[in-house]
Amino acid sequence: MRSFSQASRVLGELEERVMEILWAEPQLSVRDVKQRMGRTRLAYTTIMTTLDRLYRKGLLARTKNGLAFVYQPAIDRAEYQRRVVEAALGPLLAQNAGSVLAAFVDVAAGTDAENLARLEQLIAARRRDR
Amino acid sequence: MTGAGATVGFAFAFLVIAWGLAALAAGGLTLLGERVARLGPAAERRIAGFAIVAPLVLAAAVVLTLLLRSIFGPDHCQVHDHHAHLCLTHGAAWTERGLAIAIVVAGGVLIAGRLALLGVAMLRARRACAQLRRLGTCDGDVTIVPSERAFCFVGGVRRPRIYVSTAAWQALGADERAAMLAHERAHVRNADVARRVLLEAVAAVVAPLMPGASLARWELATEHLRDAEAAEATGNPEAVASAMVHMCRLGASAPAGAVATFVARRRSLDARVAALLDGLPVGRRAARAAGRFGAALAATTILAIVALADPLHHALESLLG
Repeated sequence: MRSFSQASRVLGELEERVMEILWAEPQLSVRDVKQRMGRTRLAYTTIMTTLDRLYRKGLLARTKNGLAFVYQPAIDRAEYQRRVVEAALGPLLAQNAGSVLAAFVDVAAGTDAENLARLEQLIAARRRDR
Repeated sequence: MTGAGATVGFAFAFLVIAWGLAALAAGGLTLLGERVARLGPAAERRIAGFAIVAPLVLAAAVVLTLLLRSIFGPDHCQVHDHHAHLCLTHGAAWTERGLAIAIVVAGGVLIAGRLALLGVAMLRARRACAQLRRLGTCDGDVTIVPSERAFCFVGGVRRPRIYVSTAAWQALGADERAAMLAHERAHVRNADVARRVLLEAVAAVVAPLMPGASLARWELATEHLRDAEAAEATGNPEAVASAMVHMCRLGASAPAGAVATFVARRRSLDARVAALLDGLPVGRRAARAAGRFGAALAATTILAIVALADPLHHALESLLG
């Protein structure tokens, strides 16, 4: 199964629409999903392929109901958004990406709690003196 | 063969001059580090930028002068042939200079590699920012991104935007948020991301193997400068300092671990806070003076290159050929 960062990168508009439908109403077959998309020119096979693709990416789970598969989300919307944000942050915050963004502060530079406390005291003292 | 040889010759000359000047500039900046820093971040930023760009400009000026001389100047090559010629019509001997060919090929590969990495980073960042905009809430020039990590940065080369995580947005006080946004807006106003990308591209050409000390200096000076601008804009330097320290605290406690964008240096946080609290001068006048001096020096050097094209041409051929 492909990694989530790859999954989030190639999740297109149709895939997001399908995910939204299933988050609103889990346990749907391909026919059900097509019906909930309303008026659409998309073929049944297109939606079937999309659902299968989402299953293989680990975003959907499925069970057999007779001859047809019934799909449900494997993760909730909040978790999906969290993973997409993390996947997006990865390349942005990689060390060699420093040239393509300007950060307010390198938070890793100040993880020494003692030093942070010292700086906070300095700032508080300056505020008192003002 | 003449064309290939001339290409090798001119490329070799360009690389030797550019790399040599870049090494000198970086060394000079390191030796004069403290003195340059005392001038203020605006001046330090200008000088560091000059140290990166000047080698490229001067090396290009030399090669262009020699090229033009080769086309329009007198042909002296037939008079002697004890070295390879930097000449479009008599440059074939460079194809026999193994060292020159090796340096041109290796240099070309290194430069292409560095530029390719930069290009890939830009493409990934563009795609990532698009995803963050889709998932976040846009409020004017700020996109608030749902995330437990503490971050705030400007992303985007052509159309820079500010991206802040909900963790940072909710944790910081109102004055700290205002200070942080003032700092980032200063980055946007001055197109710092675009400038940084350009400087990195130039550094990839003039110093592909060097660790980028001049660029790191430019970055840190830029941060100091934007801190000072945020302090001026808000009238509250303590809030800018407090926002930085608060963000570091959030980063230290974040479940996903610290967010690092530059090489982690505790000294830079301490120095930035100290500069804000002490109200150190920004050095804008010194920056203007440095700019005028740098421009005058470059112009004078280029005029000297053109005026001394003949002896320079022969000296380079003797040295390199």
